[in-house]
Amino acid sequence: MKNLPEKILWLSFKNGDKNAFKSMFCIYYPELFHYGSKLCGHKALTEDTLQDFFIYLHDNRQKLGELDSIRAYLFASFRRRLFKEMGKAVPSVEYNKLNTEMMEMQFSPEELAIQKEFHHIRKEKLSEILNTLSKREKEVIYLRYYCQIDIKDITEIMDINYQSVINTLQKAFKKLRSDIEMQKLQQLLKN
Amino acid sequence: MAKREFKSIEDFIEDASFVNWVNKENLSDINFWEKWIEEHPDQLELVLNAKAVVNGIQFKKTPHEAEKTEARWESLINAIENKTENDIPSLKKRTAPLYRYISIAASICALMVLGWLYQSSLSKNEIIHQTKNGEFINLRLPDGTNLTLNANSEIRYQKNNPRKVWLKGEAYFRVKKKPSAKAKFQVMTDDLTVEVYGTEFNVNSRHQKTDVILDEGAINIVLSDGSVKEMIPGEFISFSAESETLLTRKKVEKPEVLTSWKDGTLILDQLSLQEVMTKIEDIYGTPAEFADEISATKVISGGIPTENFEICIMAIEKAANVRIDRDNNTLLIMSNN
Repeated sequence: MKNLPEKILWLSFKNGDKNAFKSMFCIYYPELFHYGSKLCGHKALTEDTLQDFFIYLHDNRQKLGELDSIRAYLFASFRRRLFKEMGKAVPSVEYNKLNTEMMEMQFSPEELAIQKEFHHIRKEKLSEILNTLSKREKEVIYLRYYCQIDIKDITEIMDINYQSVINTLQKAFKKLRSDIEMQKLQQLLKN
Repeated sequence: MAKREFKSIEDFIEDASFVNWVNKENLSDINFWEKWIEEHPDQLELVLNAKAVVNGIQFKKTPHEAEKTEARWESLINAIENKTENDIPSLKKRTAPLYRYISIAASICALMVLGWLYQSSLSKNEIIHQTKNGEFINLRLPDGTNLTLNANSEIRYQKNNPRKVWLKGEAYFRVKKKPSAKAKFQVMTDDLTVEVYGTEFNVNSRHQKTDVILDEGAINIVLSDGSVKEMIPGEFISFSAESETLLTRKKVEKPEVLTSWKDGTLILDQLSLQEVMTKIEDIYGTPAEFADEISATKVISGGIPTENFEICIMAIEKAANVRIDRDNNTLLIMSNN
C-alpha cells in the first residue's frame, strides 16, 4: 500500500494525463540530473540524454508496463541510456570535455555533511578515501546514502542481485574503516 | 525480544533492534546489543562493519532550484511540440490537448524571473536563456550555431529567426555558415550589432559598453551611431552607446586570454586585483571591497575556475597574498603583509 500514490501517478501518466507527467518530471528530474552528472561528469550530456529520455517516456507511455517503483524504473532506465550515450559521445567533438577519467564518480569535501560514523576525520580526507573506492562501491554508496534508495531498488537500478549490493556495501565500509584507522595511526605517529 | 541468529551482515542491518542500537534510540535494544557484543567477541568486526553500513555516509544535498527544473520542463515541452509539428498531418489532431497544456505551462513560467531558464514566453515565440552567478552554459541554436553563455548573462531570440539574437552580458559564438546569401547572423547589444556569416567571436556587454573580440573569420560591427566597422581576426573593439564613442580598437596579441572563460578557466594575464575582482563579480555576483589600497593594485597572473567559487577565491588569496573574508555576499579583501 505504501506505493499506492506512486502507482496512481504512473497510471495517470500512462493514460496521457499531462499534469501527472509534469509532476513526475518535477519530482524525478532533479535527482536524475544529479545522478547522471555524477555518473558521467558532464552536465550537458546528462541534460541532453535526460531530455531524450523524457521524450521517450512521453512517446511510449502506453507501451510501458506497470511498476512497483517509478524511481527505480526511471533510475535504471536512464542509467542504461546514459551509459549508451557515454559510449557514443566520447569520440565526438560535441562533448569534448568528456573523457574516461571523468566517468568515474567523484565525491568532494563540500558534498559531505557531519558524519555519524567517521566524524573524527576531516572531510577532505574522507572524500579522498571515498574516491579510492571502486566504481561500483561509489555508485552503491551514492544511491544508498545520497539518494536514500533502499537496497531492493538499488538491485533494480544497477542490475545486480540483493546479495551483491550488500556485499558491495560491506566491502566498501570495511575498506573505509581500515583506511581511516590507518590515517589516524599516521596522524598519531606524526605528533 | 526474540532470539535471532546473527551471522551475516544483512542479519544485522535488517534488524530493527540493531538499527536502534546504532542510533542509540531504544534503551532495551542498547542493553541487549551491548550484552550481545560482549558475548560474541569474535563477531566484533562484523558488528562494526554493519554499524558503519547503517550509519552510512552523510551527504549535503545540493538544493536543486525549482526554476531550473521548470526551465527544463519548458524545454522538454518545446521539444515534444516541435516533434509533433513535424509529424505527418494525419496525426495533427493529437496535438490539441498538448497545446492547451503548453499554454498553462507558459503562464506558470511567466511567474519566474530568476534562475537558469529556457522558456517560451507568453508570445511562445521568444526563447530566452539566462545564467546566474557562477553558471555558464553551452547552447546550440536551431540554425546550428554554438554559443557559450557566461555567468550572469542572457540571450534571447525569436523562434522563427534564431540568427538574430539579443545579448546581455557575455557570450562566445561559433556561428555556423549558411550558404544562402541572406544568412547573416546578428548579435544585438545595447551598444552595437555584430553581423557575421560564419566565424568565432566573443561579445561582452557588461559595464555600459560592449567589447567584441574576433577569433576567426570576418565580421561587421554596426555601432549604435550607425557607423560600420569591419573587424579582422585578433582584433578587439570596445564601444559605448552612452558616450557614443569607440573606446578601444586594437589588435590583441593573445585573444585566447580574453575568451578563456568559455573553456571553464579564466586566464588572468597581468591584471590588477581590482580588475580581477570586477571579473569575479561579473561571474559570481559577489562585489568586493578593499581594506587597503595596496591589495587593490597588486598584479596577478594565472588561471581561475569559472564554476567553482571556493577554489577561485583560494587561488586569488594565494596568488595575491591577500585574505578574502565573506560578509554576506560581499568579499572583503585585505593584504596579508
